[in-house]
Amino acid sequence: MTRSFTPRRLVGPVLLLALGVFLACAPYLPLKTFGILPDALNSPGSLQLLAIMFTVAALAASFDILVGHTGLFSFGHALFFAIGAYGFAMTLTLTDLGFGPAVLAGLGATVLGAVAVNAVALRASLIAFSMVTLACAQLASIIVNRNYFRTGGEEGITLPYQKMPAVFVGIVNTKYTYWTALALLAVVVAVTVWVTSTRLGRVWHAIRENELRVSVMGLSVYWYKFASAVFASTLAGLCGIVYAIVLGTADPSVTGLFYSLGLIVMVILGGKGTVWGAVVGGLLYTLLEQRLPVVAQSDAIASLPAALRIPLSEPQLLLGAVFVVFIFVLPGGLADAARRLARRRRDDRPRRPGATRPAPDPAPAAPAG
Amino acid sequence: MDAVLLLTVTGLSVGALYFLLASGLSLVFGLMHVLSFAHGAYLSVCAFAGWLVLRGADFDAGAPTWRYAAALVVATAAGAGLAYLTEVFLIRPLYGRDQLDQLLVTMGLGFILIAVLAGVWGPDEQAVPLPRWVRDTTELGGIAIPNDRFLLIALAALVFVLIQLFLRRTRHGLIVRAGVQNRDMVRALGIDVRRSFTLVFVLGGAAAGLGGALAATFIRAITPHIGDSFLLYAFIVLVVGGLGSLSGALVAAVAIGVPQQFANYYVNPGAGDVLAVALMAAMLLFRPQGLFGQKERVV
Repeated sequence: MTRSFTPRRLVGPVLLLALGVFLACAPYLPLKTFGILPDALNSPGSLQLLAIMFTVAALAASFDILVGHTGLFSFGHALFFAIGAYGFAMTLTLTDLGFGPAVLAGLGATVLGAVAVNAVALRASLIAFSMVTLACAQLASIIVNRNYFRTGGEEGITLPYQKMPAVFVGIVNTKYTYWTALALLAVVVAVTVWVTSTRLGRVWHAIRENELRVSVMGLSVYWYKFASAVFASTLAGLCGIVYAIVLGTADPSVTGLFYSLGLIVMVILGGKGTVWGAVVGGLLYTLLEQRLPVVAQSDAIASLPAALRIPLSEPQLLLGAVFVVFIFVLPGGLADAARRLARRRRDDRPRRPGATRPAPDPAPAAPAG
Repeated sequence: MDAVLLLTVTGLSVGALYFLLASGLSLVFGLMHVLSFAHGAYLSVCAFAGWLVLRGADFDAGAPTWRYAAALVVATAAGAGLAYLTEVFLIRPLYGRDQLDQLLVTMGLGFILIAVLAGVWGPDEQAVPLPRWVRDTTELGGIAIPNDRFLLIALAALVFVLIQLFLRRTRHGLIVRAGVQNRDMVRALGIDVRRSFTLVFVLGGAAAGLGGALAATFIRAITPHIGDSFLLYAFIVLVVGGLGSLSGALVAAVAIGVPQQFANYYVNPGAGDVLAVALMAAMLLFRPQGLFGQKERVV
C-alpha cells in the first residue's frame, strides 16, 4: 500500500529538520531562556543541562522499546545505563588503553551484562520479570555503593582528564559534549524508529498484544523478547557512556532503585509505545528534576508559606502527583493526548492540503478520559 | 561462638521486619494480583508518625514507658489509615484496568509520600529516643543481646498469629483464603472479593506501620528513605516464599534475614545483600512459584 504524496506529509520531517538545525546551532545562539535553563541558551550551564536532558531522553527512548513496544516491564533498565558508564569509566581510569577502547569496553560490558541478565530474567514472566530485573539492578547498586571491584563507592569515578580527548575537557568545550549528546539522541531515536518498523518490531508488537498467539503461530517468544531486551539494553549502555562523558564522572546514583522507577515515570508521562512520547517524557522529567530545586531556593519561593514551598522544592512530589493524575486521566500520556487533539482538529476542519497545522502543545488543553 | 547467637537473634529480628512488610504485600498480591510499591513509603511515614510521638521524650529523666507503646499504636493506626485511604481513593477506581496501572499508582504514591517527608523534616537522620528497657541488653548464654531484638521477634510472631487467626477463624478470612486459591470461583459464587480485599489491604498497611515503628527502634534513627531497602527485601521475601502465602513469607523472611547477617559479618559487609538477591535468582530459576506458592498462579 503506497500513500499518495501530499505536502501535508512533509510538515513533520521539515519541522523535525528545523528543530535539529536549531538545536545544533544552540551553542552559538545567546538567547534568553527566562529561567527555564540556568542562563542564556549558549552558556555552558545551559548546554550542560541540555546535554543531560538529551542523554536521559535517549535512555527513555531505549526503555520504551521494552515497555512500549514489547510489553516487558523491566524495573532495572538503569542497570545497563550504569554498566555502560562504569565499564567505560573504569577501563579509562584503571588501564592505559585510551578513550576509543574504553568506549568499546563499556559497550562490550553492556552487551555481556544484557545477555546474562536477560537470559535469566526472561525465564520469569510479567511481574516476576520486573522483580528479577529490579533485584539485578539492586545488586549492581550494592556493588557500586560498597566500592567492590574498585567501582569508587558513593563518590563515583571521576574521569581522568589526561586520558580524555581534548575536545571533552574543560568548560570551554561544553559545546562538544552537547553535540555528542544531541547526536546520541538523534541516533537512538532513528535506530528505534527504524527497528520498530521492521518485521522484528512487528513481532515485538504482536508479543505485547498477545504473547500466546505469537507462540501459537510458531514463533519463539523467548528469543524475540531476548532480542528486544538485549537491543534496548545495549542502547542504554551507549547512553551511559555518553552520560559519563557529559558529567565527567560515573555517577553511582544511576544504579539506584529510584532511577529505574524514574524511567517508568518518564515513559508513562510521555506515552508508551511512541518514540516521541518517551523522548518528551525524558526531557520534561529531567528538566523538572534538575531545575525545580534551584528555582525553589530563590528568594521569591523561600518567602512562600510551607504549603506552597514544600511541593516546589521537592521535584519528586510534583512528579509523583502528576504521574498519579496521568494514570487516572491520561493513561496514554502526552503522546496520546496530542494524537487525540490532532484528530479532533482534523475532524473539525475541512481538509485542505497544506493547511493543517502540526499538533500543538498538548499539555494544557488535554481532553480527559 | 558468641557471635553466632547474637547474629542469629539479629537476623531473626531483621527477618521480623521483612515479614511485617511482606505479609501484607503477599496477601494483597495473592488476592487481587496488585503489587504495592507504596508499602515501603508506608513504613517510612509510620516511622515518622512513631517518632512524632516520641520526639522530645527524655526517658532517662523519667518520661513514662507507655509513651513508647503509644508510638507503636500510633504508627500501626497510621499505617492502617493510610492503606485504607489508598485503597479507596487510588486503587478501587482502577479495578478493571490493567493491573500494571494499580502498581504504577502505588509507585507514584510512594514518590509523593517520601517527598512530603523529605520536604517537611528534611532528608537528614532524626534520632529516636527510646525507653531504657528497650536500649538495655539481656544476658543470654553468656552474651549480652539488645532487648529490642526480642521485642521485634515477639511482635512479628504476634502479628503472624493474629493474621493466621483472622484467616482461619473469621468469615472474611475464609473468603480471603478461597480468593487466593481461585478468585473467579469465589466471585462466581456471588461473594464480593473486593470488600475482603479492602480489609486485607488495611491489615497489610497496619503491619507495615508497626514495622515502621519497629524499624525506627532497631536502627535508632529515621530518614525518609528508611522504607526503601526494607521494601526491596520484602519483595525478595515475597518471591522466595511464594506470592500469596503467609507461611511462605514467614519462612522466607527468616531464610533471608539470618544468612544475610552471617554473610555480612563473616564475609564482607554487603555480601549478605548479594546473597539475598542470589537466593531470589536461584529460586526463580529452579522453583519459580516460590517455597509455598501455587504453581499455576505464579505471578
